[in-house]
Amino acid sequence: MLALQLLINGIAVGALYALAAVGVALIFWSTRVFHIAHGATYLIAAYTYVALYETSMLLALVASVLAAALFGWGLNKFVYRPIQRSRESFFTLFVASFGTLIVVANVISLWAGSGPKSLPTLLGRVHIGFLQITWVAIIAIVVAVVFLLGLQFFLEKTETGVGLRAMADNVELVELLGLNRRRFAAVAFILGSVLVVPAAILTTYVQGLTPQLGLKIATIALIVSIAGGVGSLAGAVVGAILLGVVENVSTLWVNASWGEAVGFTVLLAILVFRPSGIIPRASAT
Amino acid sequence: MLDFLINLFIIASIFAIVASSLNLLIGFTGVFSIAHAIFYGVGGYAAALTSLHLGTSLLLALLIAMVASALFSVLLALPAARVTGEYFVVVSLAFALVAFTVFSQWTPVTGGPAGLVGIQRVTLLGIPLDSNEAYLGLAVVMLVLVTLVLYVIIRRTPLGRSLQALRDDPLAAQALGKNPFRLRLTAVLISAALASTGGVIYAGYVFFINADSFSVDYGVLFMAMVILGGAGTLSGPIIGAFFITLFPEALEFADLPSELKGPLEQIIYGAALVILMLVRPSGIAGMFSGLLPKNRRKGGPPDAPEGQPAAGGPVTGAATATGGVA
Repeated sequence: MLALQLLINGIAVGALYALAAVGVALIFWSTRVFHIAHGATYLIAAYTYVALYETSMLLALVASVLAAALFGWGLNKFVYRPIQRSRESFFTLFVASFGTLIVVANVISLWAGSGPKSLPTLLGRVHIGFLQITWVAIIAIVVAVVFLLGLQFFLEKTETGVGLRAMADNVELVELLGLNRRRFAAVAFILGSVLVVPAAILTTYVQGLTPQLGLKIATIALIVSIAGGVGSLAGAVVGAILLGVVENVSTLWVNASWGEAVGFTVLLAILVFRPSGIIPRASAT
Repeated sequence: MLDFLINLFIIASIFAIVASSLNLLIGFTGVFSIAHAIFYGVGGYAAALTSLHLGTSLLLALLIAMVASALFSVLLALPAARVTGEYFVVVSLAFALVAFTVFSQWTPVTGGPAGLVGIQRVTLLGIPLDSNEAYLGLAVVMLVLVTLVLYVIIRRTPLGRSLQALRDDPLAAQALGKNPFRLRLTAVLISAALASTGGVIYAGYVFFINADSFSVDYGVLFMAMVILGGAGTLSGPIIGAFFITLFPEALEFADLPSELKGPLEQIIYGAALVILMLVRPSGIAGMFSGLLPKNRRKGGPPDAPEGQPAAGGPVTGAATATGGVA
């Protein structure tokens, strides 16, 4: 019974990871920016919400979405693009991204303090037989499913979505066809940044918020999207759920403080033995 | 005041040792790792355990630390064989988080969150290095030795030339019969062993260690030292380490409350990283010489290797990750 309970908890945690990871994956596959500053977007979204939710939850949510989108768009325009224009070395972009994360995390800890912030418990929990499930966990799973299906629809059925997927396959071809690569990149950054908002808010309800969380979430998002599969959003989702489940279920055998390490070890092992990831995309060779 | 300066220079020298050894990977092999705080940590724990159980000999501690660190680094080197570039950055980050958990939770060996106390000042061939002045001398000598070893490897051995060839053009190096896996493995082993000597000096200096000194934040700091100073130059990481260690001390005199100082320091070096990447990615050392090979940039080698799309920013990463196994 405990195992089932942990499995459900793991899926809920994994659903939140998936929302963070899909944003990173979308940005990475379509623009090749190794966007560890996604952690900064997460912090900006979460702290905006925490600062405003007492006024109005809806206002806080809207402000959070706007702040995340604006940050992602601005970072691409004012930092990544100038670097890409002059010299496209992934490490240069990565270092700039990391520097941005450091600056944002510390500006936030100057402004809001480095201690943990928390939100009041939302809604409580439901009992199904022996199982206890928090409403936040249910919301997390539902929100993740809705957003991921919406994203899937966008990528399959709209022109911009198809363009984004084409960028992941062959940037030169996209340009040859006369499509605007820069516009697609801007869309990818805005969309990817907005996707992190529900993850940021719901995770804050579940486990609180500190400026240090930015690096952790970004690391999880990046490793999950890479272990999940090169160029595959579905892979990122599967990797995220796997990490959430392993973290939780492993506490049956090991102390809870080791859960995260066990999860990362499993993903590392996947990368060693299957470098193309869990669900490799056929075209990405 | 003098003690304050000596303390600063000891810490800066220790950081310079770690940053220099990391530079063998980032600057000369093209392996981008942010896990080096871990090997620094293995050195620290090895020195602490040697001091607690086997005595105060510096040479013994160094030997144990280097062997332990090299063995441990195989775990990081294995993925390095298969994944490269940005993929490896993530692997090293995850590796660092897992290893940090081991440091902070494996209580029987590392003392858990409380760490290890009661480390003795080391002795060199029976001579105790009691004074801080003598210890500063030891730290500087160690830094010089590490730099010398790196100089010899990079400039005077076939291994160094092969590593740089692999960095600049992996396909051409492979075509010439170089085995990328063995080369990267060797580089990681040497680099980890050298980094651990910094940890030995650190443990012997502060007498107490716990996991907090070897966290991912320090891994990022070491990367920043290499990048800010100038990757791919011997002097760069040393300049970077002294710069990052000494510069925040200027804030000492600004009379700020301590809860502001930490974040401000971080903001300064974070912003320095961003601005430097926008303006001059070759780092501080690169301002004085054009040592960073130009052909690491796009548009360096005039013709792309066959079978590889010419300007394939988007494709090369995926190619090496999926099909880059020899």
